[in-house]
Amino acid sequence: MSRPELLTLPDEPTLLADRRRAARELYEALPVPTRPRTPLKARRLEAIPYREPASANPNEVPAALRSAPESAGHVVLSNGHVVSCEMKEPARRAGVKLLSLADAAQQEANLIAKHLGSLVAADTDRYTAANAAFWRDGVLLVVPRGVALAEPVTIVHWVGAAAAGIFPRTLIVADADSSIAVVETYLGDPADSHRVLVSATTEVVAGPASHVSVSALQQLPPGAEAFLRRRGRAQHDARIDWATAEFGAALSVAGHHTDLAESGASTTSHTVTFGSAAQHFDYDAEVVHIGPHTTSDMRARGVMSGRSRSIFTGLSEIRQGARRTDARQKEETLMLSPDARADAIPSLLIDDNDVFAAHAASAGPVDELALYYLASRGIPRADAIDLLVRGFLGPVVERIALPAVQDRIWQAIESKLQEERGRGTL
Amino acid sequence: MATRQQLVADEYEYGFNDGDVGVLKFQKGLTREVVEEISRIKQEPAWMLDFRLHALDIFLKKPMPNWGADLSALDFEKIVYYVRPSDRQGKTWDEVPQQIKDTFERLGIPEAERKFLAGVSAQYDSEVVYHNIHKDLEEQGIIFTDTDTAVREYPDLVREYFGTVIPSEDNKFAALNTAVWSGGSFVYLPKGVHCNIPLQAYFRINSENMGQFERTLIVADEGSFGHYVEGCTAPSYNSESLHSAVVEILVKEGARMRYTTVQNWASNVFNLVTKRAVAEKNATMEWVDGNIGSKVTMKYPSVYLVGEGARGMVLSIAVAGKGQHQDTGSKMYHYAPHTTSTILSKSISKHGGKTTYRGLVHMAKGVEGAKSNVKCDTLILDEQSNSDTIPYTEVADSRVEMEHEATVTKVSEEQLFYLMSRGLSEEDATRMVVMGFIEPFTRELPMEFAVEMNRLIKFEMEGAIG
Repeated sequence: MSRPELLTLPDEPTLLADRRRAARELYEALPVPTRPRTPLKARRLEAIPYREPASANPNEVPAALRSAPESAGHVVLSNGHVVSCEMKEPARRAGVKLLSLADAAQQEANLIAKHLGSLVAADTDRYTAANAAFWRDGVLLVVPRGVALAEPVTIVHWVGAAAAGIFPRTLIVADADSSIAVVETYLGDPADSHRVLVSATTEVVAGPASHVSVSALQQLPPGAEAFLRRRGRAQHDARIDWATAEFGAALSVAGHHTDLAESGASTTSHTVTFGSAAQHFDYDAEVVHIGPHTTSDMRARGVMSGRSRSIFTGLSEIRQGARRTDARQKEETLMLSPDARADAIPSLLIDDNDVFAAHAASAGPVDELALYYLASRGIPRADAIDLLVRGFLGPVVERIALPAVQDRIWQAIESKLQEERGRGTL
Repeated sequence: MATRQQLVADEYEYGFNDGDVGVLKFQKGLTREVVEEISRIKQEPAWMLDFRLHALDIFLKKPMPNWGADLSALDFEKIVYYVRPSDRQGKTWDEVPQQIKDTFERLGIPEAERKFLAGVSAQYDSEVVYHNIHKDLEEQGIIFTDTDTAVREYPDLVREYFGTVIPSEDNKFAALNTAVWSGGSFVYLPKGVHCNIPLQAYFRINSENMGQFERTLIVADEGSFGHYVEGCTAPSYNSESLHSAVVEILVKEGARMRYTTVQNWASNVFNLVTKRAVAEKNATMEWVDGNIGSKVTMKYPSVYLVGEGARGMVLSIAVAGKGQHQDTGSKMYHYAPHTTSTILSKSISKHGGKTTYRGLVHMAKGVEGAKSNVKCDTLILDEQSNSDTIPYTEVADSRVEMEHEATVTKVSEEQLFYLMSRGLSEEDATRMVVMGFIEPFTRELPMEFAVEMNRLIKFEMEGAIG
C-alpha cells in the first residue's frame, strides 16, 4: 500500500494542518478495527482506493436535492465537497453562521480550533482517523445566544459514481438558550453499486439551555461501506434530540453518543432501521450521565428482512455523582425472514444509587393472529405485512418532532417495502 | 442503629476455623506430578488420568479471560490443589471426626439432616467425608454418591457422560477443574423415577489457600424428576482462596431437574464456576442460584435447549457488599423448535459492592416457536455501590419471541415513607423492602434454605443505612 500524500486545504491554518498530520500518523498506525459481531477484515475495505481524494461533481446531484424551500439554510455536498451553501434572510439577520468547513477554517479559525474534533476523537479507530486526516470539507453551523430557528438547516451528502473515499465533517455549535434543528441526509444513486467508503462525523456542542435536534437519514447506495459517527455534549439544562434512520449501504457502522455533562441536561433518541438483502448494520447508541438530574430516553425499532444482519448496542452509563438521573432504553425488532439475524446488547453501567435506569429489548415475527384478522377483512397477506411493518415502525417515527423528517422516513420505508415486494419477500 | 463502621467490623458469621485437620496435604502449585498423584491416590482408571492430563495442557495454554471481574489477585502458584482430611469416608455420622462434626454442628447440618434430608453428601475440604442416602431412594435405583466413588463403582455411566456437557476446552477454569477435580456429587435418576425429597450436599473450604474443585455430574433419565441442593459457607482467611467447580447436568426426554445453590463463601474466595445443562425433548431444567458471599464470583448457569419443547429456567439473586463483585448471569441457547426459557435475576449492591448481570439468549436458525423472557432487577442501596447489566441477545430466526427487561433503582422513598409512617424505623423499612424484592427467589427454595437465606440477608442488611 503506497503511503497517500497528505493533502491540506489551500492556506490551511498551521494548527489544523498539524492535527491532520497527527491524524494521518494515527491512521497509519491503527489496524482495521475488530468489532466482535462485524467481521470488517473479511469485507476487504482496504481494497477500495479510498485514499485518492474524490473531487466534486455537482451535476450528479439531482435537481430536487439542490434546494430546500422549507429550510432555514441548505448545504449540498458532492463527494465530501460543499457545492452550495445557502442561508435564508431571517437566519442571516439573527446572526446564524452556516459555512463550508473550508471557508470556516479561515473565517472562524478560533471556533474550529476549539471545537472541531473535540468530541469525535480521531483515535476512535482507523476510519475515524481517516476522516480526521483526509477530510476535504464539511459544514460549520453556529447559532448565537438566544436565537431560535423555526425551520431546520438541511445538509445533503451526495455520493457520486466515481467517488471511492468520502470524509465529510459537520460541526454544530449552539450557544446558550438557542434552538436549532439539523437534518443530514446521506444519499446516492440506488442503481450505483460501486464500492465506496464513507466516513463521516457530526459533532454537537450544546450550550447551556440550548436545544439541538439532529436527524440523520442514511440512504447510501448499495455499494457503500459507511462509518457514521455522531457525538454531542450537552451543558447545563441543554437538550440534544437524535433521530436516525438506517436504510441504505452494504455496511453501516454508525451510532450516536451523548455526554450529559452538566446538571439538567437531557437527550432523546429515535432510531429506525430496515435491513434487507445482505445489508449489515452495526449501531451503537450511547449516553453517559455525568451531571445530576440528567435524563435520557433511547428508542429503536428495526425491521429485518432477507439475509440482513443488525447489531444494536445500547449503553446507558451513569457516573458517580449523577444523582436523580433517569435513563431508559427500548429496542424492538420485527423479523421478516428466517434468514435474518438481529443481536441486541442493551447495557446499563450504573455507578450511583439515586437513579432510575431501565432497558427493554424484544424480537419477534409478524403476528400471525393479526395477519389472520386482516385476511378475514379481505386484505392480502403482502398488504397485511406491509401494514404491520408500518404499524410497528410508526410509534418511533411519530415521536420524531420534525414533520419533515417523519415524511422523509416514511418515504424511505415506502421504498424499502417496494424493494421487498420486488424481491417477492412480501 | 448500627453504623457502617460496625458493619465493616462484623465478623463473618461462619468465619471460625478449626485448625488444619488435613491428613495429607499437597504442596502449593500445579504440575503434571500433582495431577498424577491425585489420580494415583484416588486409584483411578487410566482414562480418567488421561482426561486430567489433557485438561491440564489446555489449562496451561488458555489465557485468563479478558472480560468480567478482576482476577489479578489470583495466583495459581499459591494454591494447594488437593487436601484430604481423613483417610476414609464416613459411612455413618458416628464415624465422622469430632472436629469436623463440630463445624457442621455450628452450621446446622445435623439438624437439617434429621429434619429433611434424604441423603447428605457433605464435602469438607476435598474429600466427601460423610455420605448417607435414604434406603428408599436406593431401592428406587437412584444413585447419589460422591463423584470419586462413582468413577470406581459406576465406571460405564460416568465415562459415558463425564465432560460431555462441559468439555475441558470450554474455558480455562473448566480445564483446571477437570485436571484436579476431587469430590462433588454424582446423581443418576433412572427412567420415570420421581425423587420427591431434595438431594443435598454441603460444601466447605477449610485449609488456607485451598482450592476446591468439586465435580458434579447429574443424569436425569427419561421422565424422571429430581431436585439437587447445594450450599456453601467457608471460614474467612486473609489470603486468596479459589473455588472452581464444574457442574454438568443431562436432562433427558420428558425429565425435570432443579438445581438449587446458595453460595455464601467467605470474602476471600474466588468463586469461578461453570454450570451447564443440556435439556432434551420436552425436558425441563431449572437453576435456582443465590450468590451472597465470595470476593469474586463469575458464574453463568446455562441451558442448551436441544430437544423440541425443552424448557429452561434460571432464577437468581446476587448480593454484593464491601469489596465484593458478583459477576453473574445466565445463558440460554435455543437449538430446537418450541423451546422456551425464562430468566429472572435480582441483584442488590451495597457498601461499595458491585453486581454485574451478564447474560445471553441465543436463538439459532430454525427454532420456530421458541420463546424467551428475561427480567433483571437491581437495587443499589448506597452511593458507593454500582451495578452493570450487560445482556446479549442473538436472534437468527424470525419465528421466535424474545423479550428482555431490566431496571436499576434505589429503594423507593415512597415505600420507605409509607412503612415509616406505620412506625417502622428506616432500617427495618429498608430491610422489609429488600426482603420483598428477593421474595420471588426465596419462595422457590426448600424451607430450611429459605430460612437460612432470610437470615443471611438480614445479617447482610444490618447497618445498610446509618
